[in-house]
Amino acid sequence: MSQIGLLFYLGMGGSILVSQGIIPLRPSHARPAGAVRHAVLMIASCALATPVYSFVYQRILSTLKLESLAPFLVALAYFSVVFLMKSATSLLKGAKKNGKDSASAGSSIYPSPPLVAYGCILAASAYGGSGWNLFAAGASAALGFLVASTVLEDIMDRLELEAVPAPFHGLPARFLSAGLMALAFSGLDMSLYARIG
Amino acid sequence: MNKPNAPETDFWSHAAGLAPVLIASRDLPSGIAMAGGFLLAYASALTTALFLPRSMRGKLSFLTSCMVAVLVLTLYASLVRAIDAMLFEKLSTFLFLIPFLPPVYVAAATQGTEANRERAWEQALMALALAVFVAVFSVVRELVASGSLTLFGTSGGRSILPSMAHPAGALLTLAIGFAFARHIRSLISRKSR
Repeated sequence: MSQIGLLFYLGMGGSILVSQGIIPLRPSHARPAGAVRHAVLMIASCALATPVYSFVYQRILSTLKLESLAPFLVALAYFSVVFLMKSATSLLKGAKKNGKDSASAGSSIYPSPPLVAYGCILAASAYGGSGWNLFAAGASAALGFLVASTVLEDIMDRLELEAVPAPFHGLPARFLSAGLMALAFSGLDMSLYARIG
Repeated sequence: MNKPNAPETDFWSHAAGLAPVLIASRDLPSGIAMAGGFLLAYASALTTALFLPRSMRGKLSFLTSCMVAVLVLTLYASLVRAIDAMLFEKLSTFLFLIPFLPPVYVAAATQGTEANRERAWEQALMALALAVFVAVFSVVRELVASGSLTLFGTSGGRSILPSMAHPAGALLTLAIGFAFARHIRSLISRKSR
């Protein structure tokens, strides 16, 4: 299984968790338009976190022989970027709204796209390699997230018309569908990876 | 679209949130290592969130708790590497995901109030139950996929579904386990009536 395939699964699983409210997000973020915004945020924050991480890793951690702290550094870079992006967004929005709806703006203390962490930290396993891994990680997690929020939702809508046994309603049906999709994707992933690798 | 279903019990919601850990737990040694990592990350995030000074509540408390969990897990990963380098190579990709899992996020977001401190043991028990669940899940997956348990040196077992060793197998096992538990619960509640 390739790293890209793995991230695809994580993005997909993450989307299920968001849609079920297990990863707490505002409801607007779980809608299809929100999913696209999420995917863009994932790629953007990975792209922004990459240079910060690469610079500090090469200049500080490598020099001080503290390479094992790389995951900590990745998390720090990720959180900083996400909070900066969030602050910038709320500043821009704040200028428009001018104090209106202030309760909802400060309601969530979670970083806006928590799934980006999946991509960033997964890529941290390759911290010895290219910094571009972080960007590729964000992109593939975003793809998985998008696929799950569109295809999986269609499957779930279709399943509502079928006589699904009661114990499988809701989360089990979702995981079952995701598992079968992942099984199909793993075949594709293996054949592609074998050709590329 | 994206309409949330009826709220599930806390335990199963948290178990679903552990999906990446479950994907990595293909066999018992991986399951034990992942369960240990989860316990440590959860405990450190919760403890930090509960005992931070009042001035650090809110976003700063959440961020600090998450970073402490990442730091603890980095140290734990070094320990796993020292014990079994092969196991570390296999799991390193997933180990660093643990501080970013929904249950750990929830623990990191706990407010450090007196009431929450008194109820912390409930959360600790939940974390322990989830860690045991990860270990049991890995045993089931390994038995179904290979028909044997590597940790106990048994071999030559008959594989039932080799595809359960794939990441997709974890999602399928989770779905079936979830549905099974729900069925048993409904049977019990029906009998008690």
